[in-house]
Amino acid sequence: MKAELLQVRNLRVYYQTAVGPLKAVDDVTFSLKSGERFGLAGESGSGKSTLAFALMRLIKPPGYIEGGQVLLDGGDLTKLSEDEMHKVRLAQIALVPQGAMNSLNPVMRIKDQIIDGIVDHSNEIPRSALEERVPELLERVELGPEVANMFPHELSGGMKQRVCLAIAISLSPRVIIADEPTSALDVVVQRQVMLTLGQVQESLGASVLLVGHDMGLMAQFVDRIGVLYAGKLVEVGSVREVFKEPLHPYTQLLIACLPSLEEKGEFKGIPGLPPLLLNPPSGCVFHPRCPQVMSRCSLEVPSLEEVCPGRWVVCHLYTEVKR
Amino acid sequence: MTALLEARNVTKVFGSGGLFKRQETPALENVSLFIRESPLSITGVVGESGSGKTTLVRLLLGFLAPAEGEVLYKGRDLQKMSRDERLEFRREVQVIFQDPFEVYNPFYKVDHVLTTPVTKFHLARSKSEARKLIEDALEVIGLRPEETLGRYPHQLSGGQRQRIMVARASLLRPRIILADEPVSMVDASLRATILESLRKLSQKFDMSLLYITHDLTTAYQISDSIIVLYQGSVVEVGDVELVIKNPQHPYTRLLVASIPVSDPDRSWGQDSTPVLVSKTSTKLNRGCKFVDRCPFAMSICRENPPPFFQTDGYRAVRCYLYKEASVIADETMEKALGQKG
Repeated sequence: MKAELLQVRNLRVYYQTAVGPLKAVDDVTFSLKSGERFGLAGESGSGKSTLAFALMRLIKPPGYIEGGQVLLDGGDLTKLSEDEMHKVRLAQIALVPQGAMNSLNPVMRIKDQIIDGIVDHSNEIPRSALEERVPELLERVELGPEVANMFPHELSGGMKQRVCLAIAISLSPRVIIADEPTSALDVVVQRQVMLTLGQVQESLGASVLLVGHDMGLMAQFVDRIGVLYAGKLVEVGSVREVFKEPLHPYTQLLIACLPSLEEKGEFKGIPGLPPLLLNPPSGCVFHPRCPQVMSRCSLEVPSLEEVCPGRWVVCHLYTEVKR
Repeated sequence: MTALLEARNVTKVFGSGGLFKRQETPALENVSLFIRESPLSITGVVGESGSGKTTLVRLLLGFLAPAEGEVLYKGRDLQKMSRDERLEFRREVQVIFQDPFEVYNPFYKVDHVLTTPVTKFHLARSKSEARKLIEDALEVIGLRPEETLGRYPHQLSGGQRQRIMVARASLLRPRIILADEPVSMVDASLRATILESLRKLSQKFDMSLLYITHDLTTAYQISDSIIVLYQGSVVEVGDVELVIKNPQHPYTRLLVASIPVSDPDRSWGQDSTPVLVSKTSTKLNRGCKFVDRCPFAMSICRENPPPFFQTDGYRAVRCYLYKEASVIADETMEKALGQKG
């Protein structure tokens, strides 16, 4: 059993609005073991990007961390001062952002952008030593050394995403948070970038938190998966078990609506719409759309229960079984 | 078999650069496409970004004129249509664009996009009749009119907005709907809902569908036949079961192998293609466009562009690996295939 590297406990991230707080991430608890690949899946508006940003402490007003803990090796990131957090970012926990196209500076050479992050953490390294590290980092993400002197517009989308990955690993972080790293890329390039991410992670011994909505990508990349719905984590388990036998009705519908290449069938969507986070339904947030809804679902908020070892679910269907 | 909408050897070249250093980039080269008059068909066009998918849609709509070749609707060239013919074309061929956020004017209520075609094409004689028509169109695709009409675009979700565009297209009872990446910006669960409503509409009103996408999985699910584009050329075309289950062109094989299957026990293919580290060369390649990435490249591939080889009754592949098979001319390709179904 590997040690738990990152523990997220009862994390709540709210956005201040004129009519009260919007609960974007509500009471989310999960943990990431050392060297593990954990997937956070959810549809748009489920709070997955907010959660990723909260772990980096990059939530900007009107958003704020309302409560809970983010423990990295036992130390609570939410308690750190801004300066202390600055040191942790990139060195301990790094983010590969969603749109690589928009996260690079268009008027800076690639090498300067890579060096920038390293210098920010330690300005004692001589420039020549920094310049030597650039080709090495580029090689790790399977880019040629000539890329160092290029500008972002000279690179393809996949190459830009690799540059972002090179920046993220420049200080050998222990946790890499990848927020939909390939959503703007083609399937062929997506697979290559994800393979590179996997290799880099293994060579660093880092853990990866992959945030995204592509269940196929999750199935192929992660070891364990957590499913977010309306800011709440509804199910956590090993990716094999969750895909084989999803427990939460939402996960069941989500997996059932994935089209397959095996056989043709009817497209099955999930009826209804995601709830408005400002005015979430009472009880279980999924109850208005749930095909297995019971009377208590609209009254009581279900809690996270471990139904069998390593499988957690938030649903009254399983609290009954237990009792 | 008569064609409803047909592209014959269409080439579109975009120029870039200055007055003296003019560079020409072919966005589409020698593309032919054939949508028959009846029975209805659903054709998928797949390709990665930059493969010319959107250029093809714009040519088929007559927004762009081809540099070579022609686009015909009911046998008439789009670029040479009379005013009345064009109006008929605009009514019978509808389009759904990718982005459900950009197609709306934020200052108008969503009703505007629905009432405009009704007025423009005189679909109703009275206001109440128009209202009835719009409400019916919304209900067919699973939207409640009372929750949709009278709202502004920002008050609706992306999925709702995209479904309104489907309703708008169906109002005119077109013969063909061109759907350009209609679901790439919505979630998986809504994606299924929208595609299912498109499929139902197509059957209910006997409309053909051209589904343009980068997503092979949904293309497989919805289409009868499929066209695979690579850098502006069709590399493989045919019956969807044949092309997806048993892809022949090395690019189609790579594409199918790259799809992350939502089953953790199935491996994600073998990495047979090298990562492209340098930029894709802009210089015109005389031969096959895929040659630099192709694991089976032969010398002939660099010299001449491959013609279509008909490898099955319902499939043609532009690749010299199949040179034993008989060659078919581009423009007769789909007719020769005879579109199954």
